[in-house]
Amino acid sequence: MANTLSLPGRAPTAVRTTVPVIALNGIGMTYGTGRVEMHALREVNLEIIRGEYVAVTGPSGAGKSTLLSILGLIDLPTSGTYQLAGEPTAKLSRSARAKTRNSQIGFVFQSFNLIDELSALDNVAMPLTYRGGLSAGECRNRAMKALETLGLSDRADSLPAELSGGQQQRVAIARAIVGEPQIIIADEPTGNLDSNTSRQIRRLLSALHVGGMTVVLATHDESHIHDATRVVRLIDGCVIEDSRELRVPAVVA
Amino acid sequence: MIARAWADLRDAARRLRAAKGFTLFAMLTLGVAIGLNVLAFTAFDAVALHTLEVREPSMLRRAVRDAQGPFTLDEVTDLRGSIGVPLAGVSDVMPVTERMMGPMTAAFALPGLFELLGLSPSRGHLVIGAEPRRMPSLVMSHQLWASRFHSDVTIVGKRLVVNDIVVRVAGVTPPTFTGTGASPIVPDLWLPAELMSRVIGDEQGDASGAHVFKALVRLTSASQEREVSDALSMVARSPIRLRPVSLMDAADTPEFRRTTVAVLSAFALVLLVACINLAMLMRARVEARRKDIAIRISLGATPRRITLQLLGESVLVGLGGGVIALGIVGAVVRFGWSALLEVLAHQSKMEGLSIAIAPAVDGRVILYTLGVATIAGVVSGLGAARSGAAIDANLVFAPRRTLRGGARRLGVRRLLLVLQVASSIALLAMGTVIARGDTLMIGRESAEITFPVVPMVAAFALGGIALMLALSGSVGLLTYAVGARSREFAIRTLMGASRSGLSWLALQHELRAIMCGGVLGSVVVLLVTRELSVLWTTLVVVGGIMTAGTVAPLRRIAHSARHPAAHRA
Repeated sequence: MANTLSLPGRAPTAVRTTVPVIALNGIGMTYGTGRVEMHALREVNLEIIRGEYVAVTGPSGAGKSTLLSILGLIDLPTSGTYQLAGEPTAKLSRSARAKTRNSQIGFVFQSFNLIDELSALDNVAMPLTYRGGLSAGECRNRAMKALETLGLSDRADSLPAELSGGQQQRVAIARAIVGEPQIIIADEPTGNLDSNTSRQIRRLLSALHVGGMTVVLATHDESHIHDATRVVRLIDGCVIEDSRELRVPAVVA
Repeated sequence: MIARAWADLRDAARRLRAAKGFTLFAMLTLGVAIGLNVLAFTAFDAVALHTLEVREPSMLRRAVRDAQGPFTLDEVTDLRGSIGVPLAGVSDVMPVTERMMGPMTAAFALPGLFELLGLSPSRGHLVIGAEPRRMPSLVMSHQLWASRFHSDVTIVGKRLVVNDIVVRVAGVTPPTFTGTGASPIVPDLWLPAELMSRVIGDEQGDASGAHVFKALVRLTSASQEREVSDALSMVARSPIRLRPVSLMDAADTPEFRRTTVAVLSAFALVLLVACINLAMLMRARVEARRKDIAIRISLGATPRRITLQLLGESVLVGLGGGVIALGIVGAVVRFGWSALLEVLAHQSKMEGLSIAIAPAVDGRVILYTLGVATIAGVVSGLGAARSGAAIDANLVFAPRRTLRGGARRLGVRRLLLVLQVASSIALLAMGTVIARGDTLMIGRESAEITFPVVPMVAAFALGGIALMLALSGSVGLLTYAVGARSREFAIRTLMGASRSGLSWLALQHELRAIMCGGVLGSVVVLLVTRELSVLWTTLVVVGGIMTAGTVAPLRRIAHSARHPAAHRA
């Protein structure tokens, strides 16, 4: 596996700017109304600079998934403001959020979340089909390139059920990067994998980061925390630790 | 845009292929209901939307006076001489007898009818004549010539003896010509109007005074209409309107329009019920695919796109139903129509009649089917598509949320199920009673059904449709209810509930509705037929089919109990 993952159409860059690609200000998230309220996030302030590799960690129920859901524009916070690439997101409609998500964010999930009845290639092509302006052939070509990048071109026609867990997660990573997003959001991406496969996936995510992407990852896995350039620790919806190392990480051996 | 729609449709087709049982069931349900509507439209199309097979039918008009109905021979002759455009008179179709060939039908016409219609003959000349000192001549229909005279090429000049009057055959009409719309029966012969009194006078007294003639006018331009109707009104001394000609004049009456609207609305209602049932099934499918849809939303599918993708699926189901409907209607038109004609001819002891109405699956019918099928698909799928677009994409982070809790309120749909079960039992039982040739009892009076084929077929067909609707309603409700309670079932499984216990829990509400429908249907059957044995048979058949319909949804219970997320429910 290459140390840096060259993305289709994107040159690897080592130049890090200090412009925040994500800026959360006083974000709160409360579920339920009336007497029973659950505060999933309280007053979270977080700025993530382009090219950072941020590990969000904390115990179960700390608010990691809620934070990722807000970062990924899947949920809107009940309080506070969120600026993505300098643009406020509060007033975006569901459609506008979907479009922003499609163009700027790639997701990697713990349970891979591939569509069972679609081949690996069609799964990878899916974000492009939702983008518009691309022919079906172009979508498939780009998807194939992304699969090649991940070393899976020979499994393009396989259904998810015919792939191992590690292969499924690589297909999911191909799907996350195929649209050339700025940000990768990963939720426990190695949670369902054995240690060997986990290492491969960690390597891939590090390579994406080295290639210039912003990676935000929720994890329990201490080894991931070592890969990251910054660790944000949550407990009960509050950020209790935010440690940043200003370094390009050593690529996992 | 088109490429995207095409890709969505292919995606939808792939998903439907993956669920063959659902797809077939849904298409059949819609197909039968659409078929009923298309059948009604095909009949309407054959009667009202086909024009006469003549030259420029759009310039042809029928002169109608509201007060006295059709004209007498004298009146139509007067009208003919008084206006500057061609006018021809033709009578109703009447039974006559030819000495060698036996009973036939004939219409009486003023000279110039066929010139006005602009027809070219299959044989001879289309001239009807009754000039003094010459033998009167007639025109024969192509249908009669082909069937009774075996397309005899020497027919022109032959003599027929019609009700003892000798008439010479002048020519044969073209095969497409089926009359001028006074009756659905195509006249076998067109005889000179002057002969009417002599040919049928004995039976009807002074036939020349009979109001049996209609007047046809050929306009030279559409703007003439007002002028011609004014001129005709002046001569007739009563208001005369010009109406377009059609294959059947009866189709141009308010009664016909009212009946058509009533029948089409009733069948549209049947289709609506089918759509509502199918909508439940579609929603249940979306419920089962919440996770997939959430993934798509997380990858950037807009709500509109999800709506369109899901609608694409239901439109495909609708179009599949449309194809099935066309198959059904094609078969009915091909076999049912000729059988019906034979039966009617046998009943009226008038074998060998040519009928002008020829229902066919033509371009209009296909277009209508596609339209209805698309609308049915959209109506069935709209609810599911909207609920799909509203799915919370957070499911991608939390697998356990794919399971749903709590049954929904489905009161109205259960009521619909009660009615569907009741009507299927009632109609099937009545069909059986008629099929056995029994006497239908209505109240205390017994009404002998002398001619059971049509009502029997109708009762069985409607009963079958009602049963199909009941089945789709029950499967849809149960599938939806099971999907909506998957979380509850998972928890109950963890607490030790058995599969049979869960099945009973899921079935309770539907069983109650089916049993209510059964009781209601039984009451109707007993009131109308008083046939216990027929009722039992029907109940066993309907009960068996409804039970078979619970198998697939109940298997889903077992699935949700096995679901890995059950362990985290």
